[in-house]
Amino acid sequence: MAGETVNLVGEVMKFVDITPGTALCMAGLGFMGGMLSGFIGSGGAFIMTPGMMSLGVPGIAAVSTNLAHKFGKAIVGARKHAKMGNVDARLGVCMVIFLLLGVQLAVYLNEYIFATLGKAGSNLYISIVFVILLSGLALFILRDIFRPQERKTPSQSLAEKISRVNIPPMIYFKVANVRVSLWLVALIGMATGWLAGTVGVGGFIGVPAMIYVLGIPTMVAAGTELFLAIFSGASGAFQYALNGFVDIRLVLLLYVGSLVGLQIGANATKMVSELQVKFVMAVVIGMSAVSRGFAIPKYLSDLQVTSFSTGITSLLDGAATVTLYGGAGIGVLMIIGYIIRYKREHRVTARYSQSTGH
Amino acid sequence: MCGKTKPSLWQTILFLFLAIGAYLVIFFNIEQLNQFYLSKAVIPAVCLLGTVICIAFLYGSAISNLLSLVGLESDH
Repeated sequence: MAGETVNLVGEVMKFVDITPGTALCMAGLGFMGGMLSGFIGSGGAFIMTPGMMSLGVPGIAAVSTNLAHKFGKAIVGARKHAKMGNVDARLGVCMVIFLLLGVQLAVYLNEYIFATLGKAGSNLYISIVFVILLSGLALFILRDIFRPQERKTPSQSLAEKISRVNIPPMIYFKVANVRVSLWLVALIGMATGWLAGTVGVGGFIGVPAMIYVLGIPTMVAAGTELFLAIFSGASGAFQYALNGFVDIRLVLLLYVGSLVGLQIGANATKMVSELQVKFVMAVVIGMSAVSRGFAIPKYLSDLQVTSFSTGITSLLDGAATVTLYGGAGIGVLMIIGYIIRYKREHRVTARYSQSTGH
Repeated sequence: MCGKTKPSLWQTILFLFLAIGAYLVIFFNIEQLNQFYLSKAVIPAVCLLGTVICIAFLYGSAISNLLSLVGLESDH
C-alpha cells in the first residue's frame, strides 16, 4: 500500500508505507502500549509515540495518530467512568478551558517547527520533550519506591501548603472536596494540554499534579483526567486532522493490539501489589527515556547541527529501537510473570483449602 | 462476587462480525478514504474522528465481550 503524500508549507510529508511487517509491528506496538497502559493506568502514548517514530513515522504524524487513538478510547471508556461518580465536573470545566489553550499552543508550535525545520527538527523537538518528561518521571517513581515507609507523605504536606496559598479567585470543588486558587488550576490545565498536544501524553502530568499539588483524591483525579482526555484528544486530533497529519490506518492498526492489551493489563492490576505496578512503570518509562536520548544525535546530524558519522548515528538509532522495544517487552514479560505467579499461588491455595476441607 | 452479567455469545459474535466488517471496508477502500480524510477541511476531519469512535466502540465492545466470555472481564 503506497504511502500518501500531504503537502505542507515548505515540506512534503510522506506517510509510512504499510507492509504486512509494518502492520504486524503496529498491532504489536498497540498490544504492548495497551497492556502497559491498562496496567499502570495511563494512555500508553509514552511507548506508542516513540515506537511509531522508530518505525519511520514522522514525529508529528505519530503524535496526531496517537491523539486520535486516545480520543476514541476515552470516548468509549468515559461512560463507564462517569457512572462511578469519579468526575468533578466543575473542576473539569475549569480545567478544560486552559487545557484547550495548551493544546492549541502545542499544535501551533509543532506545526511551526515542522514547517520551518522539517521532519528532523520536529522529531528532535518531540524527542527532547520526551527525554525531559520521561526521565523526570522515572526518577520520581524510583525515589518513591526506595523512600523509607515513614517518609511517604510529603505530597500531602505540599498540597496542604498550596491550599493555604490564597490568590483570588479561590474555588471550592465539591466532589474533590478542595478549595484552591483558579490560577493553579489554570497552570495545571495549560501544562496538561501543552504536553498532550506536543507528545500525546497529558495524564502523566495532569493526574500527579492534581493529586500532589491540588490535594485531589486519586480516584477523582483519575476520573477527571479521563474527562479531560476526551477534550484534549478531540481538540488535538481535530487540529492535526485539519492539516492532514492523522493517518487512520495507523490508528486502526494500533487498536487491533491496544484494546486487547488494555483489558489484560487492567486485569493484571488485581493480581499485583502497588510496588510491582510502580516498578514496571519505572522500568518502562526509564527505558523509553533512554531510547529517545539515543535517537537525538541522528536528528541533530540530519539538521546538520553536529557531524556524527553515519555509522555512529545508525548504531545509536538501532540502540534507540532496541531500548524502546526491549523496555516495553521487559514490562510486558514482567506483567505476564506476575499473572502466572498469581495464578500458580492461587491454585496452590485452592488445592490446600480443598485438602484441609476449608 | 461480581454483580456483572456475562454478555451473550450472539452479542459477542455480532460485535466481532461488525468490527471485522468495518476494518475490511476501510482497508479495502483506504486510497479513496484517505483522499477524502486528508483533504484538510472541517467535514473530512470530523468524519475521520467519527470513524475512529465507531471502530473503537465496535472493536472495543467485541474484545470486551470476548474476554468476559473467557473470564477475563475488566472495568475498562
